[in-house]
Amino acid sequence: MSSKTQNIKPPRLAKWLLQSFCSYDYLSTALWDLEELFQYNVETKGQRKAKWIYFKESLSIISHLYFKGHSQYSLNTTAMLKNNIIIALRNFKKHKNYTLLNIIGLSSGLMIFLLITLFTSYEFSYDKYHEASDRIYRVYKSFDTRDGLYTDSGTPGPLANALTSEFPEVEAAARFSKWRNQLMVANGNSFLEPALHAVDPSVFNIFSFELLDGSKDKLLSYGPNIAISETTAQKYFGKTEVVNETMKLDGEMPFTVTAVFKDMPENSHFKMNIIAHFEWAQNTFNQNLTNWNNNPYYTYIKLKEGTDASSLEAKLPQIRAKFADDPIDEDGQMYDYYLQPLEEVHFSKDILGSMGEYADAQRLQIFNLIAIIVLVMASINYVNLATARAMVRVRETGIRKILGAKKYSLLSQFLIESGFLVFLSLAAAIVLANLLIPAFSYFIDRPLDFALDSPLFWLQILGLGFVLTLASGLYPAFLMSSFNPLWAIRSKTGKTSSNYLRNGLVVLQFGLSAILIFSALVLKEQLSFIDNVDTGYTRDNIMILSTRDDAIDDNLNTYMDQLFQVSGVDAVATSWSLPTNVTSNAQANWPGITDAERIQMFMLGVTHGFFDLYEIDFIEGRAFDREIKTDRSAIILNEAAVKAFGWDDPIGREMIRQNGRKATVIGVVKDFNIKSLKQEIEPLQIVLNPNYARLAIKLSGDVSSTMAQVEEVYESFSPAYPFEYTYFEDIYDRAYTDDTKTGQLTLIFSVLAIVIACLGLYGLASHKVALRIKELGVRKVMGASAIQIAKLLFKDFATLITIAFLITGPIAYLMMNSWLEDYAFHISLGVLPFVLTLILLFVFASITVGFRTYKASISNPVLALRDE
Amino acid sequence: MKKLSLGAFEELVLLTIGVLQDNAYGVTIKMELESQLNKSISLGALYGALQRLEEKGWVDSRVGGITEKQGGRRKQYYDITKNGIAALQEVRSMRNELFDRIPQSKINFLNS
Repeated sequence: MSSKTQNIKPPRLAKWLLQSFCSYDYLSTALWDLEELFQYNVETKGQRKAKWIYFKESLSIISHLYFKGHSQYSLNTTAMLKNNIIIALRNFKKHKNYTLLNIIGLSSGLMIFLLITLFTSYEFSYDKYHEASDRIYRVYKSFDTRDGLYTDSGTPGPLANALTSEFPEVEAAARFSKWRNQLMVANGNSFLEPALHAVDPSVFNIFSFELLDGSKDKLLSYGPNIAISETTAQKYFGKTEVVNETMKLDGEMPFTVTAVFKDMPENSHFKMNIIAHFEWAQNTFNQNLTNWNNNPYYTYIKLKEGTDASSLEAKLPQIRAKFADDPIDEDGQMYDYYLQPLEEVHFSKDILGSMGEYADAQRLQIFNLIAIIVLVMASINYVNLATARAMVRVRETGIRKILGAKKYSLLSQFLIESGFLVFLSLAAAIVLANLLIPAFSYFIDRPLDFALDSPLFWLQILGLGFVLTLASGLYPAFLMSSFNPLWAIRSKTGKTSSNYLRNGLVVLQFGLSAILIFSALVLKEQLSFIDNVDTGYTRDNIMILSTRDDAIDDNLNTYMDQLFQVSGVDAVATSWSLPTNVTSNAQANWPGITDAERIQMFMLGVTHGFFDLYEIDFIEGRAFDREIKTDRSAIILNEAAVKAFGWDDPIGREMIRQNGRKATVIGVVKDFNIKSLKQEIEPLQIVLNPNYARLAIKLSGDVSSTMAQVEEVYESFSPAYPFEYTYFEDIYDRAYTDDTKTGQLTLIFSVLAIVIACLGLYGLASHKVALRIKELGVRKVMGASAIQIAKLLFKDFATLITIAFLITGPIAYLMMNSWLEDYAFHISLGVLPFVLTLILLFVFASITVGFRTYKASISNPVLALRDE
Repeated sequence: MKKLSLGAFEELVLLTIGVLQDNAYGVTIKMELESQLNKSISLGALYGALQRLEEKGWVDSRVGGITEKQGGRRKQYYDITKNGIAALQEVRSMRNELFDRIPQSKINFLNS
């Protein structure tokens, strides 16, 4: 044996375990043997393997000698541990109902907690996977308008280069531009790509990409080159080694694939599948890259390590003054540039025009809160049941104390019991949550999964288990271990102050349930209001068709005429944007206007059929008429606009359009919601103009056969682009998806929360019945009816529920009121949801308590009274 | 008195202790068994068997090998006892008797 190998020590943990568990008579023998074996293994099999074998052998010794064998001389504390575990198991077996109640409550609470936190932590993980994610910033701009500060993520072309040349702390900068819905053809396959990105090659230095094909130094060079994602390569070519293959934009313009990268993860606020060279693309399509007033691009920068972003941000105003000829732009608006950390982009709703969809961080926090509430309720159940049962177990603890058990050892006994329950429930919760994940991720539309193979996940689970064990087990353990042993002998299940605590916890549980139920009811009411509210336009039987192809744009009128010929199509119309979300802006203008009157208004270009199709009503005047040629220079206003202008007689008044042409007001439409219901109806002008349009058709009769004919018409106009259409109703609903899902989730959670609360209530009721069994027996003998007895028992709980409701009612009211304030159009909170909440609470509680007490009240009093 | 029974694994352990004579302790028994059986045996299972054998009075243990090197830990040596040998012989003779009752013709037939 060389001295070198002797220095290698066996694993300490295994040794410690052995010392604390192994019976004394075998300990030194085992240590000797293991040591010898270990040294031998180090020499023959290597250090790692030897340590592993040592560990395995120690565990097998412990299991054989400590649990299976009958050694008697193990250390005292560990002997007690063994005893405690056995007692805990025996207790669970003996009180199956109680154990089951606890496990169901805890595991469903934990399951909800796991699912919700999985979702929220996924959302908070957005964009964090980039190696330098904390040094990447998005540049955005803001400027003062008459209506307040306006911020958006559009930046000018020269900004990125100015930043890198001016500030040495900027390591790299990249510009992005995004083209939506482009047709790509390659290898005989053609697909409509939702998005193509033209990006500076520095993007590969800023963000983390994993390369699958292509060389690192020639990722994307100037010219008609593209880098594509793994999925894209598979989709077109069926393989990923596709460097030097050709893909054609629109089937005409060839691009060479120079790199294939691994798909960007789903938790990225933007996902790129096809990347073209930014400058080449902009030059090819004659875009001006030196104009500081043209803001169609996104700019992302990476700072050098140790750079203070806020001090750089403070220096940004210099840039525009130095590089742009005019620090003030044409409209007299002053742009300021700011930096936003990449990790916050996903949650920024105030910066308009982001590449991805944004998530509401507040909503996620609310979900986290719900998760914690549900978990707290489940723990309260345990605390309540355990303290209630403590009264019954007073004799056991008393005897233990008399026999000399110290407070510490009793404490550890009860903690082991709760730990056992918690971990059992945790295991059940993980299994359940895993089963529910597919449905859950489909519902919230995120690819969620537990990281079952990551040690960190299990460490977190372990931590959760310990925290929960302490949180729920500590108080009952203290309570039970502090019993006066005299009680045990006197056989008196004494009254303790814990009654107050237990009642307080029941109040808390039902209070939280009340808040959840109330919120769910209000959410549901508001959402059905959204569904049925009169928005001023109809949503029924309307299809929105894609008009991607220039071929259609060029022949729009004939196309629309032919669509109209299809039987089953009642109306055809285009509009710049859909009525659900009007985006174009204009300024009010007419001859002799004062500056104060130049209010911002929205603008919508439509074709003749628009008002018929969406069934928008007129208050005054008329719609555009095909027969009247002068309607090309006519304007239709909405009520809000007329009111804002302060005009008494709008018809026939002259206005000046954005293009400087004069136009006459020919009609006023009834206000319709031009944004989501969260916003007020703003002034709007409508003009006759078919450009940049969304095309809508209104159907009657059989949808599928009509759409088949519509498709034929479409194919004859645009053979290259696939036919796509959307129900207008779906587009309308999409604006409220977040709220709808929140509503549905809250409903599910509140039902589960109240089920958990009821489980606890059931346990408490059983306990109450057990305590008062003699009293009830006497009452029955004296002639009390079953109903009277049930009433007697229910009285206490009814008081608790009422108190809970009175306390949390106002809180719930304030909470939901502030949520409703988000909507410009909302329901007013009446008495109904309160009454419903109270009724639901009582119904649930009476079913649980009633079930238990009924059983007690019909039982034979002899059974209760005979053993005295 | 209830008749003590000798399990298959216990029998192997007991035999090995007999074979190893003065040098039978945890590691040597384990190694010998592993080389004979061609499979690995955990110390835990071995201790379990030794514990049972000791209770039945078929092995004796003595403490030895307290050296500086091993930090003063003791090494538990095992010896087979007279009863142990008797138990082994009993099992063996029972087996032999049963084996002898298998007809020779059958053995010949199966071996050919």
